Amino acid sequence: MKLKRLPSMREKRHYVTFRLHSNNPVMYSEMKGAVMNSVLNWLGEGGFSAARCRIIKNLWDHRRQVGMMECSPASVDDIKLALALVHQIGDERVIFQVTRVSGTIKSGKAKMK
Amino acid sequence: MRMYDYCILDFSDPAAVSDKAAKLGWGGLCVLDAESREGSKEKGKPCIDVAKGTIIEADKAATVRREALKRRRVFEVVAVRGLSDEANRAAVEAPAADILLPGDDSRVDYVMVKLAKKNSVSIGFEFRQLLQSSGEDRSRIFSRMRATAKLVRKFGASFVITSGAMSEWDLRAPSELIAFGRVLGFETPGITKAISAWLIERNRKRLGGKWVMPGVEVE
Repeated sequence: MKLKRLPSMREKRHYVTFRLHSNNPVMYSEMKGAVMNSVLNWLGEGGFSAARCRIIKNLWDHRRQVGMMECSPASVDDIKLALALVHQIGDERVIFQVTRVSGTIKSGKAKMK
Repeated sequence: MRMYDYCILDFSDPAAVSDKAAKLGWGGLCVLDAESREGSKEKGKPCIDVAKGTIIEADKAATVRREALKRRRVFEVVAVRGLSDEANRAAVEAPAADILLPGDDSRVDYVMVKLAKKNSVSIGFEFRQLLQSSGEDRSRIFSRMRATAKLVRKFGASFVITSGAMSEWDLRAPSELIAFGRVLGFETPGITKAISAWLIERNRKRLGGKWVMPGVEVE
């Protein structure tokens, strides 16, 4: 079988683990909307596409309000800043705290526990 | 290393505010405007170290000079938010001031940065200015911050990165403020110093009574 792309040509990714501080739990859909909107506002459409960021849905822990998002290594600082710029989701005042930036999901998960 | 955030908090509930700051990873807080926002002793003690600071908001140079000298003897950190270019200039010319926090509309030029370096006044970058703005305003404020950061880097002046929080919900974790500094173009070691306790430790030593002048202390 011929490989479509060499493994060495795979684009590197970083995983940002975050914790959401708020008085009441926030739903995944609301959190995702606020984060993506903030990243888009901060980076613009060009920067957003270059950052290749996405939130990993199955790693969102609603009870503990912790989650993980994927992005390109070059845009980690911008993603952290965009997360910090989220101050309200709906009527809820929130603080996003980045707990770890890792190169693999496995090591990022360790910090989520 | 202990990290401090300089903020203008509503400090009526010291236990709750300091608990939130500790959860975010801060080793201490420096509450500017401490004289008018004294914590209520009934609501508990803060769980982290809280330094007593003051902020001078004035538009006249003479007021800045007079207030900085007056408050220097009482407070651990003296910050100035100049409401005019004249007041900002007076802040960097006064060695009694510790931090210049430029307002949203004020510009810091190279003469002021050079004077700040000469008089050991740190230039402050407040995250709150970005947090509480949006769209065109935010981009204008950020572009001004980047221009100031470029001058600070060029002339090697000291700087502080602060959340400038007005409430506990405006506080941000140290890693986010480091990211803010990196986006402004600073290197990580410089940013780590900018959020460390060096300024507070230096001023506490000076207020201790044994300090006479740089290099001279009474044993």
